[in-house]
Amino acid sequence: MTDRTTPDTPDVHLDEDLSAYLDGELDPGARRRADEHLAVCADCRAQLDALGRVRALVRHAARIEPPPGFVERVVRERRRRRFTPAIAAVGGLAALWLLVVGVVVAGPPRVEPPVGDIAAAHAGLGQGAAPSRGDLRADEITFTRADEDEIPNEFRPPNDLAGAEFADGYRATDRPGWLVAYDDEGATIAIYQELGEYLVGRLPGGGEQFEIDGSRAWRRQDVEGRNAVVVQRGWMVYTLVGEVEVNRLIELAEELPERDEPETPSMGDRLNDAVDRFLDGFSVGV
Amino acid sequence: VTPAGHLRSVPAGAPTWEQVARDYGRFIYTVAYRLAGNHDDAQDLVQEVLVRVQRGLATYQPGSMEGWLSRITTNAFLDEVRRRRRRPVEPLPDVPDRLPVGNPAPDEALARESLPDHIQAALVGLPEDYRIAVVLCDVVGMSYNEIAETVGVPVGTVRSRIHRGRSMLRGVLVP
Repeated sequence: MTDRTTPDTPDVHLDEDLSAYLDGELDPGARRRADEHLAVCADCRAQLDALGRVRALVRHAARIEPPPGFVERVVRERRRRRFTPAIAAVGGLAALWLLVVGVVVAGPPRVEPPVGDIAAAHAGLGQGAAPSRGDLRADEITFTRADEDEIPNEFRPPNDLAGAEFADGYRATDRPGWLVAYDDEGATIAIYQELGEYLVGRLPGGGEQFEIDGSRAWRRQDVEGRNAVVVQRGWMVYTLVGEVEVNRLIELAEELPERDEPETPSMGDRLNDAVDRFLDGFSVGV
Repeated sequence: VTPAGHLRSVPAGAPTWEQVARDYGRFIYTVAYRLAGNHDDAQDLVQEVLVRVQRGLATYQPGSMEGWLSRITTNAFLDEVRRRRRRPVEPLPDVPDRLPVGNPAPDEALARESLPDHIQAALVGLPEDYRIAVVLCDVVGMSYNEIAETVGVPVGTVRSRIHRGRSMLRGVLVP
């Protein structure tokens, strides 16, 4: 409020001061002036009343219960994983040095399971996961066929997965993941793997959350009867797609290995590497 | 790594991240849900907050745990908002949004039914800046100064956002 007008016909109102008044955030002088104004201004009194009701509604609606067991499950899952120690525990100079050499300490990457793309890639695989010729193209990801020995260890699931047989492996372009195809008695099952923690909010609508062997999971069926299951196993997010019963996908998911945090060079090794790189650069410069 | 392993890097008297998760999980979830607007995004936000709690406990100064957690939750939410602006969710033509598998678990259905939907919907309808200000004020109970510090804007801006946010809510919630 910036103007004082005749008490009977105030034409300058409290406006933003009303919420601050309601919250006890006006200084004593402003509060006294607001009281005087409210005593003569029916418009501001009505607005104050309405804002008070809004505030009460939001306050009363405040406490939300998480889904039962949610917090416990997050704690349980995270406790099972190794976790990178807090960088903040490192002293100031050392932290600065780590920043200089580009060492980043972070939690698990956040994974958006590409369910639609895996479904599209699945459609491109032959029956019984017959080796596809060339690349598998989905909307956003292209998968390039790789020989079995090219698949890094952490992305190489067992040859026999709950009775399904490993058929092919594909490296994803534009994403740090691998797709493996299994032959399940003539039906093809595609399993996409990416390290990190999956985001529920980035999954397609209409799915259902559940648990597999104590790990959080999500499932959904599309109109063509193709099923999709996403499961968090340690640090690995698996997305399974197949034209089989959802329970069959869950059987496979139960057998998928739980992965540890990927091995990273020790802090000492990283510092040595950084120093080596620095010295190399220096000698080149000289 | 055992909880004791984390304790080594945490100041004396500070709780472990697991204690924070257990004691403040409901609180974090409430703030996350009010900011994010739905259960799925709230769950993702809580997971991210707990990662940041795990990383940040070493710098936690004994004080208002709820204030500290609200600040982390707000920052994580803002980061997500920025990320989504850069990369909006694409529709998935191969998996259309229908035919959910079975019914939601009874517990989940109960959690969803107990929500005051119209209030949540009204909050979600606010611009993010207004929503954050209203949530920190009315859900968390922060003062304008604390909100200003959390969000990194002047107190006058906080006052204005809260008032505009409430005025917009009024149009929807109060006849």
